[in-house]
Amino acid sequence: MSGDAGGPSELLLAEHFDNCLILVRQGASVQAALLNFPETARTLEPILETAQTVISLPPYPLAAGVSNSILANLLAQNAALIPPGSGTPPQSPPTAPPPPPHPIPGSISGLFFSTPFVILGATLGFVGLIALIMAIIFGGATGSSELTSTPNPTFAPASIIAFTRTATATPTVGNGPTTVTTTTSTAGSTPAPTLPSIGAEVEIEGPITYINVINNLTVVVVNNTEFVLNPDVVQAYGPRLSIGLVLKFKTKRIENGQFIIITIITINGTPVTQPTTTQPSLITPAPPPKSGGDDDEDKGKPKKDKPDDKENGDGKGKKK
Amino acid sequence: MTSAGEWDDSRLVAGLKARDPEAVRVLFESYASRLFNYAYYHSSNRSQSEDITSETLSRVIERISGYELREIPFKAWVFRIAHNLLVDYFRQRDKQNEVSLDKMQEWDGLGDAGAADGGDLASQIALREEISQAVARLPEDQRTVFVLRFVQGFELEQVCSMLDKTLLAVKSLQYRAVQNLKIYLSETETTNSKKKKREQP
Repeated sequence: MSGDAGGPSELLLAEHFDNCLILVRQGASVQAALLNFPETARTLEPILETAQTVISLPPYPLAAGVSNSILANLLAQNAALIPPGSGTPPQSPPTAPPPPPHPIPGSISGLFFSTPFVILGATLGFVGLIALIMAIIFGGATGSSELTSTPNPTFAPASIIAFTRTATATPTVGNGPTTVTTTTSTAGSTPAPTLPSIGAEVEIEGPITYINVINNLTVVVVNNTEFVLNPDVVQAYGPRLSIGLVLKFKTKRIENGQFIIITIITINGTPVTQPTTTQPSLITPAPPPKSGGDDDEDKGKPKKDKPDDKENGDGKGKKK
Repeated sequence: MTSAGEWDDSRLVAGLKARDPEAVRVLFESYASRLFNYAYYHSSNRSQSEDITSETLSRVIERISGYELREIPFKAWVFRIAHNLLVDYFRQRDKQNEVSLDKMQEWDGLGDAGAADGGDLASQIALREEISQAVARLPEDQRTVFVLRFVQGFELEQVCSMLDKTLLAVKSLQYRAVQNLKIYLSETETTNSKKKKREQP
C-alpha cells in the first residue's frame, strides 16, 4: 500500500496526506497544498483530488417528514420519562414557534394529511400539530374541540396524534421495504395522517425562515420544512429570495424524500411571472409511497423491533 | 427557536437528564443529520439509516441518566451507540443475506433523475451515491475513520479518542481509506462506461 517500490513509505504518505488535507479543508487547491511535499506530490495528487471531491459534497439530507416525526417522537419519549408527580420540567414547557403572520391556506400540513384532515391541516399547520402534541403532553389540553393555529391550541384529548416510525425486526428478501413510516393516533376514530405521495404536487405558502446555498443546491426552510429549489427556479428567482419573504409555491416530494420547489407562484403576495421553463427535470413519476406495513399503536416512544439490544449506552460502552 | 450553538456538552447533558424538552431539541438539531450521514455512509440504506438515527437518539434520551460526562465525551458516546446499532444491523443483514429492495428503488429513482436532466443536483446526487457505495466497500476500520473524518468532520485527535487508536494509526487508516476509495471509484467509472457502450445501439 505504500505506492511505488522504493518510493516513499506509507507512513510518510499518510503524514503528508493529512497535512495536505488540512490545507485543502482551509480552501487551498490540491496543487497548492502539494507544493510543500514535492517528494510525495505525484502519489498524493489523485488521492487528494478524491478527498477534495468527498469534502465538497453536501451531506445527505434527512427527509423533512422523517425529521419532524423523529423529533416529535423524541419529545414524546422525553415527556413520558418525567417521573410522575415531579411537575413540569425545569425549564418552561416547549412553546411552538410563533404563527405565520397570515393565514396559511394549503400550508405544509396539507402535505401530511389525507382528505379528512385537509381542513384541519389548512388551519393548523404542521407547526401547530407539534404544538398540539406538546400541549396535550404537558397538560395544555382543555377539552375544547376548536382548532386554531395559535401557539397554545385547545383540543379534545382524543385528538392526540403521534408520528411513529417502525421497522420489521428481520427483513427478508422479497418482503418489500424493510422499513415503513406509519402514523398512529391514540383515538381509534381519528384518521391517520400520511406523508404526501412521492411525485404528488402540492401548494405551500409561508415565510422563508432559513436559506442557504451548498454546492449549487439552494435550500429554503418554510413552515419548518426544508425545500430544495429546482435549478430553473434558482435561476429565475434566486437573487430575489431572502429570509422573511412569504412564498407561495408548488412542490413535489421525490424518491430520496426531499421536497423540490418546482414553481414559485407568489412572493410576498405578488404573483410572479413564470419563467419559460421545461417540466421540473428532477421529478420522477410517482411510485407508491414506501409505507403501509406495521400499524402498531406505539405512541409514547419511537421504539422499534430491533434485532437485538446489546448496546446499553451506559457511558462505558459495555454490553447489557 | 433554540440555538444549538449556545449549548455545550455539559449543559446539554444536564438538560437531557432533567428531561428539558429544549435540550431534546438541541440534541436533535446537533446530531440528527450527522447520525443519519454516519449511518448512511456505512449502510447505504436510507430507511435503515433513518431508523438508526431515530433509535440512537431515542437511546440517548432513555439512557442519559446513566451517562457520566467525565467517563467519555458526549459526542463519542452518542456515536458509539450509533456504531453498535450499525454493527447489529450488519450482523442481521449478513444473517439474512438481505437484498435491499429499498436501495434498488432508490437507485431506480436516481437513474431516472439523472437521465431526465444532466443538472447539477442530479449529478451530485449520483456522485454522492457512487461515493457512498464505494465507502461501503471499505474495510470496517478504514470506513469508520473515513466517515468520522470526511463525513462528520471530526478532528484527528477526536477520532483517536473515539476509536482508542494512536494518531499514527488513524492517519494511516485515513490514507488507505481514500486510496482504496479512489480505486473503487475508478472501477465504478469503468463499469459504468462499459455499460453505456453496451446500451448504445
